[in-house]
Amino acid sequence: MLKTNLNNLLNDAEKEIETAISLEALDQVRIHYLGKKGSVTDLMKLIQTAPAEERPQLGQQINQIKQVLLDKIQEKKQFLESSWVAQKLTQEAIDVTLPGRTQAIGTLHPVTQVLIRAEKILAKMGFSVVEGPEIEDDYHNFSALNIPEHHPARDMHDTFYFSDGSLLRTHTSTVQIRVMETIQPPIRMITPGRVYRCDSDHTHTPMFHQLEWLCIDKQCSFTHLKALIVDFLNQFFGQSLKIRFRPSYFPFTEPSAEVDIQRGEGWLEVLGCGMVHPNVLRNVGIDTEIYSGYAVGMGLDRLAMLYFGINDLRLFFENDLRFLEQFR
Amino acid sequence: MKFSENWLREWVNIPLLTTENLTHQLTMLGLEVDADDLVAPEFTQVLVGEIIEATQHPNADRLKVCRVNVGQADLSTIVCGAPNARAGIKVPVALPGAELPNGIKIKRAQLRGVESEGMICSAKELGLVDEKDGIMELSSDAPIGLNFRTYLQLDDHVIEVSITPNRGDCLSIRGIAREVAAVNQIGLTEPVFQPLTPMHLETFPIQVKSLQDCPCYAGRVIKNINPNVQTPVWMQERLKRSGVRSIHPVVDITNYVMLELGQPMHAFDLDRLQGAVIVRRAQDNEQLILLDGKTVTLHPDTLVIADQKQAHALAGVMGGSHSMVNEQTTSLFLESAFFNPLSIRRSVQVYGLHTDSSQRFERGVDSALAVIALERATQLILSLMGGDAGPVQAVESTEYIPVPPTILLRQNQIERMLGFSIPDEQVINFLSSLGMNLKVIDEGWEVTPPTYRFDIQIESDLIEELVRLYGYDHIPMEKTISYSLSTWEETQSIDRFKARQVMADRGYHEAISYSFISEEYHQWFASEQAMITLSNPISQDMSTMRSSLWPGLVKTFLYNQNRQQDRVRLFEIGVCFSKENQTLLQKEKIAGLAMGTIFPEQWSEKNRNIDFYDVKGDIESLFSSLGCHAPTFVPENLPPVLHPGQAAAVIWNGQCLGYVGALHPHLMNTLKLTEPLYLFELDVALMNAQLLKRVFEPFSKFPAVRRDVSLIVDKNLSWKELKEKIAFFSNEYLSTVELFDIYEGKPISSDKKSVSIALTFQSKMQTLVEAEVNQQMEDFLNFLKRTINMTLRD
Repeated sequence: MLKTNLNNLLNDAEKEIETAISLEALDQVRIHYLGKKGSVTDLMKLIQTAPAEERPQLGQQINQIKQVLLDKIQEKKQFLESSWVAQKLTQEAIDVTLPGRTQAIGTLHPVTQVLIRAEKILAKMGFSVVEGPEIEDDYHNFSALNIPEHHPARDMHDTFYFSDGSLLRTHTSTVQIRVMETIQPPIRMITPGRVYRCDSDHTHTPMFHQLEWLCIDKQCSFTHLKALIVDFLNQFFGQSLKIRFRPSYFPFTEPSAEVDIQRGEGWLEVLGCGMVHPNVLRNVGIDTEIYSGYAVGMGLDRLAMLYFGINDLRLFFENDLRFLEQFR
Repeated sequence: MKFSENWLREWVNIPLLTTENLTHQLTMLGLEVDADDLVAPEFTQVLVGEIIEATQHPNADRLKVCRVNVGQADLSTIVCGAPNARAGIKVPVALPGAELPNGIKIKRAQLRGVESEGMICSAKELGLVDEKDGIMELSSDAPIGLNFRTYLQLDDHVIEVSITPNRGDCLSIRGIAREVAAVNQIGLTEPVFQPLTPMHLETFPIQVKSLQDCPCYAGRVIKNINPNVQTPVWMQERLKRSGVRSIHPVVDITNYVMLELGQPMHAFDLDRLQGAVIVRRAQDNEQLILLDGKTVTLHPDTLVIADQKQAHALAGVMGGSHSMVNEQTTSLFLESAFFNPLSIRRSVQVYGLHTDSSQRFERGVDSALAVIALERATQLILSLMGGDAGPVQAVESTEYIPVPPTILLRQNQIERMLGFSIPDEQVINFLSSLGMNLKVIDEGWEVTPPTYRFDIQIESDLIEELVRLYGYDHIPMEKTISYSLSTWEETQSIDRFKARQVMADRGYHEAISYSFISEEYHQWFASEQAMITLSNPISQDMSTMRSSLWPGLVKTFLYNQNRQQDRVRLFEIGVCFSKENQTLLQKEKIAGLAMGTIFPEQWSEKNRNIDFYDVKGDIESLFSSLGCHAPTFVPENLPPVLHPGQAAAVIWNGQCLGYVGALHPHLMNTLKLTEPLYLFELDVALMNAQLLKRVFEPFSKFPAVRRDVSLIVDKNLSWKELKEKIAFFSNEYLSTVELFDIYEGKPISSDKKSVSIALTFQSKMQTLVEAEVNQQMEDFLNFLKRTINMTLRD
């Protein structure tokens, strides 16, 4: 009798477990059979009424049933849980290809980006940044830099003047003078900034940017300058470049060089440099028998054109958003 | 300087040196080659021919049938469509089998029933010029049957080098040849010409009134030249390859000598000169009609060549029309002088005249060259035009002729400057090959440069010469370890790259606009500021230095608006210029412009137009990100370009850092704007002073209690005023007061508004109990009721 009951109970319970469609229903089944007042628990209590010799066997059977049910419930629970998750996942799926919810990000001007890149490299090379005025006097822009009045080299600089004789600096070399006037060597500085020349066509804008380097020390030679420039250019362009130094002329350096990098078949000029002219050092009261120095001047706009593949200088100053937005 | 490669090779012949290697050598010598072009593209089988007869084509109105002599037994029949085809002219003829540059192969062909045995070519068809202008007409002395390429020496390159201002000596074939010879360590092949024995003794008086301006003036009379001679083709071609037009045989010869030797010369028509050649400064208001027909009123500083009556030439720059040589000229006074570079430069600047002659004199012409060039030009004139030359006359002043310096070149300085040493014998070799005289002394050498190298003045100049010939390519590289932190880095300043990055992160694009603006923009945006104007602006649009970044940003905005951009955020960092008590100020500023919707076109959020508070938020973020004290915003002392009801001065520590606000409706009208535009501008130097040093502050470990309250206050009570009142409520537990809502409208009366604030109470010592917080709140509200006109909102 008890045995039949046991078998029916097992069958019923198994059926109920199978048909339970939710975790809640399954839990109800568990409580119904295995809870404190559940059927299996009740049966355990009935053991007391059975003859003493059958009790161990009965107990064993009931425990077996209990274990079977526990396993079945656990199995079903796992099944229900995973299908619940699966359902939830389907319901909650979104179109992740929609654009992200974000503010528009602005941009730094390509000339600024190139300046940052250059300054980072030069800072590692020990150069400090210093700036100077854009409206300058003739002395700092020309005379102090060994470009006396009536010197043909002044033709290289179409200068903007003001009525009082002051001018818009034509190069950042002015800052060399201002620094050397106030600071004793050793000097290792760079100076970025806007410069101006009275010239406007498709390859010239009346305003552009330069970055000037200056080093004055007891042991400064052309071999150092060459190593510095080669390292800088390779770092800046992130590749090992073919670099060419060729003689040139600047009134404030001697010897002077222009530096080209190879692009395709041809060479592109990237900067000018040289050993600081003794007259320049003398003008600021530096003893040329003790100190020597080198200086480098580069056009940042030109560098940005090369770096980003920009083909027209004038784009830099039109500030067309369709241009600026490209440099995120 | 443009020149024919063949001409250069006459002076310095290195057959094994290819054109490519030659141009490379020039560039590496500091004579940068800008261009290297073939004189003519490849073509074959083109000969010099003469049209003997040209008759109308029987079947075509526009064609002619020409009988052409190309030096063969029979005349060739050639059909030609050029309007200038006529009997008697010499022309280039492409014979059957010829290949022309455009790929055309010439064959015998029937042209409307007449067989044509070749083609008469235009200069365009031979690739010599770009535009078509009939068939090419050759000089009447062109030898019939000669290969056309040989006739014009077309197997040649035109090399263009850019000459730096210090190397005036290289503005000639001779100068460039010297360089090539030096680097290849070979000698020059100079053309041979002997000083001429005078054929008569006629002279023309020379008076040099200003020896300082003209330390050497040489000249000679040449009579009885044949005025009907044409400049020979070879000379015309060489001039052409140097970009010089053939004008008149005498002028062509003086130009030729200038290109060859570097000495600019001038020839006067002797019959137009009165009494004497006088080299003097101009008289006040003296007039001179130049070769080009323009009349100049002379400045008293200007050096002229005159006769007893009038000025005839701007010395060293340009001749005058009165005494210029022409087709009737048979007697010449030939001038070859050394002028002071500064005198010539002054004329160039005063009259704005840049000529081949002035270019050379300004940079300096070899002071020893005048008589040599005079002999060379005489030789050419006599051989090409005949004539009788008189004796060379020269006025020289040893006082003013530059004397080459003697320069000490110390052996140890070479290594000090270059970083590597050059052996003594190489030093001697290099400098000697450049024409320098060396004397060995203990420390090194005493060096005297040649008269044409006036750029060599000091030891460094010699070191540059050495390294130039040594080859910049061969300079070794040596790395150094170096550092320098100097006094300029001691002052604290905001990180401007970071400032830029903050603005970019908040959606602004960095613009770089010109530092000069139009007067109009200045008046619109900064009429209260003095104008700082350029004396020589590039245009009126760029004549005035900006005193604010706003004009540039607004102009940039308009530019973009015209290109269909309806949402614009721009910023700029740059120097602005102003005057205070006559002192020029150059202040760096950071400014921004914003208009349009808060978000770009998007799908997920409700979009709206930006307003004042968006831009104010951007500024507050900027200050915060840069580590600056938070400024206050005060609607006082506003610039007139801003909307007085939607603008504020940005203040910290009593100082005005700048402004933020909407563009004034007035200006919106002027600029035809319909959407509001927000602007801000801040002084970077003043922000530097605002940098704060962060110090850690311990925070409370105990929970905070928040209480919200809505106050009904007067509508015109500003948040700043309310906040300042609240600040007077001193209490150790009230840690923050945050504003979270402003409400105006029903049921609140129209002169009031509701301000909702959240108060946070927190103790550093303990957890606050309810009763304590309640007491605090009560105290706070009582305090407010006493100090401002307010009630609580239900």
